[in-house]
Amino acid sequence: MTEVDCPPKPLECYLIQAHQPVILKLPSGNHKFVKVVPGEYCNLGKFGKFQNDDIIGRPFGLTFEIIDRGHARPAKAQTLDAVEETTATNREIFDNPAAQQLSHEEIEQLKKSSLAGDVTHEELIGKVVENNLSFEQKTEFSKAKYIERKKKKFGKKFTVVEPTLHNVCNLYFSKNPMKIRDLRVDTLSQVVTSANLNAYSKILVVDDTQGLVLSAALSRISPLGNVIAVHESDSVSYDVLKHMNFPESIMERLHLISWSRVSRDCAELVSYERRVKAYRRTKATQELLWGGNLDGIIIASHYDPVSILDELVPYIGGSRPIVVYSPDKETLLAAAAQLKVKPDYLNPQITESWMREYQVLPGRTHPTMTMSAGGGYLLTAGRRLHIGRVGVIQLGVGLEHLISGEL
Amino acid sequence: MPFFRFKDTIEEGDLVIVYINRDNMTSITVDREKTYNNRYGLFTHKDMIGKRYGTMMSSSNGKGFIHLLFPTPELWSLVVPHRTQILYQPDISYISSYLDLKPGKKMIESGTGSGSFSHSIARSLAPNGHLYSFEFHEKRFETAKAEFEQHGISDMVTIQHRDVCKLGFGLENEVDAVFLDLPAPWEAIPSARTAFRQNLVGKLCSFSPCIEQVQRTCEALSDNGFTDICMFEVLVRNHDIPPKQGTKVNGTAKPSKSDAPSLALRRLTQEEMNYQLVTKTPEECRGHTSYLTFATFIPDLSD
Repeated sequence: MTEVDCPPKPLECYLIQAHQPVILKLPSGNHKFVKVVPGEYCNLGKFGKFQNDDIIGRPFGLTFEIIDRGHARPAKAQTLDAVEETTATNREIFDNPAAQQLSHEEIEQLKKSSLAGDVTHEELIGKVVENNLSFEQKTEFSKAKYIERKKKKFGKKFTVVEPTLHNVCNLYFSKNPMKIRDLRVDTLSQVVTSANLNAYSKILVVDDTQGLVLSAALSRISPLGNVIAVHESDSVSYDVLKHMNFPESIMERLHLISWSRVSRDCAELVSYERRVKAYRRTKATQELLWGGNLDGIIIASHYDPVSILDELVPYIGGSRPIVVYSPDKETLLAAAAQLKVKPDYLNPQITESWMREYQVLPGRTHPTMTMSAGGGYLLTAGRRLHIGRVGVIQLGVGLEHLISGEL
Repeated sequence: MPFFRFKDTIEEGDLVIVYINRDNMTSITVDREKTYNNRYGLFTHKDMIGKRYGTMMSSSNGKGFIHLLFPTPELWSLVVPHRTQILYQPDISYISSYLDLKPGKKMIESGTGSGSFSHSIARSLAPNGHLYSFEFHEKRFETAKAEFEQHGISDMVTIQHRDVCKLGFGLENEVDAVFLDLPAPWEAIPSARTAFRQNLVGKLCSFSPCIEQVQRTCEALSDNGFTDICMFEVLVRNHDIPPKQGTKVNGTAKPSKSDAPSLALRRLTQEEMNYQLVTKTPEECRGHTSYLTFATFIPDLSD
């Protein structure tokens, strides 16, 4: 394949474009999906609003600051500030709601002025700090922490984050993990490598994670690859795709097929006049699937993995990867035990993912106090080929090893 | 033929992963004059030619067998001759995800080490991306260079023998991502800054085993204007399925060592397999590989 088949990405793809889905990182540290519609305002609630045109054409990853009258301008992103340790301790600090000298009303008034742009958020935070009686008694570490908390509350800086697979997965995982079947980003990243996803992959995906696994496949192929997605017979719900901003040249490589059309014994397709296009598409997908020799299969489904594999594994080429994700170990355990005695699989293995994030502030490096308790499990195996009589006889020898767990 | 692009049938000159069992694999380059042998017997390369990847092959005396597998970067990392400590799959996966590696992107890797990550990166960036790899150890540089050529990825991997801590990367306004696996990564950070495409946001990862290295790296990253500095540890744990399972004690047949049916010698029935399947963790597992420090390069905004 030549370079012409796969042109380099134009520069604009790395810039924020009109009508594009993006992720905003808010002053509170939370993330949200928004669409950049030109001419419209983006409302961030208590943090204010800004006009979308202010961010269009800028590179992803920039931090902006909301300024007066609903505008945003690029701002300096936060850096790591060193904290000098002093002799202060918290020995004299007691829970005292009266420590803050400003009344609730006064703070509300300040917040209003800040939203209107009359007071900068630095001034606002400065006032709140100034009027906190116990602030000076705090250790330098806890002063820094206090200011950090106030920034999260009253800050005006937001960052436009590119909706990469990594970022989209993290956002779903923190907001609505049920939707993506608790598939954590480290586990998803292992799905991508275990499946050897690359520009040329012709990969089969059974995805009940709202399209997250499908997005993983699509983000790694080029216009030279193909992704076949097997979905529920009555509906397709790949919500994640709409946040991913895949170009048309990639979306053309996605082939959808419902379970009712997968089997070679399924009812012959009828070409209705009004649905010629749909008929052709399904027919082409069936041919791609039945043509076999696919480059691997990824399953993240609530159906029994073995029942899926029994149906689809004949279409997978030799030595290609088989990757099954499950939020629970038991499903994979039952599946792995069965795969071990089937002739189509080599070396089924179950792994559990573990990940820990650290705070890395100068002089204050430690693991974060709470962490995700689990990232799910993966079952991986290789596609083993066994052809003809000789193969079967040889297999008789192999099975002993397979069952005794030597393989 | 690129190393990672699947093919079906084994030909003369192909790289094949010989799978004996999950803890025992090796790689061979098919040469019809040669024979591969292990304690299970002899396997002539000539007989491998024409076989499909993923098939089993019996030894010439019929007593043992191997499987012939296609060399993916993942399998390669299991057989690569270790010239240095190599990166493991969970780290490779997480870094590739965080740096958003995909077709067309350009990246720096330093040092090359045993080239295990290089193969994985090349696979992710192909066909139109590029990897600039740097190794300061001359022998390792030569071995890796030869390997990239043998594996058909040298047109998209440029490897240089260079001490990047002293001399920098020699690249300007070129890459989307930088990966540092160096004893003193902070020395290379100013040069990494110059190597990023200056009008776009870029991502950097530094891979260090010690927390003191992480702290110095973070300081240097911050001093050089990098933002979103964060750090992770990623590991996996295997859950093995012990082979003996589902045996019940009942009144009539008290199992004893001598007359209990050997489960290893027959196929388990469905019922047995469904009966209280259990997993067991290995006695030991990897407890620490390295800390993964990430940071974001931000374009200069003084426009």
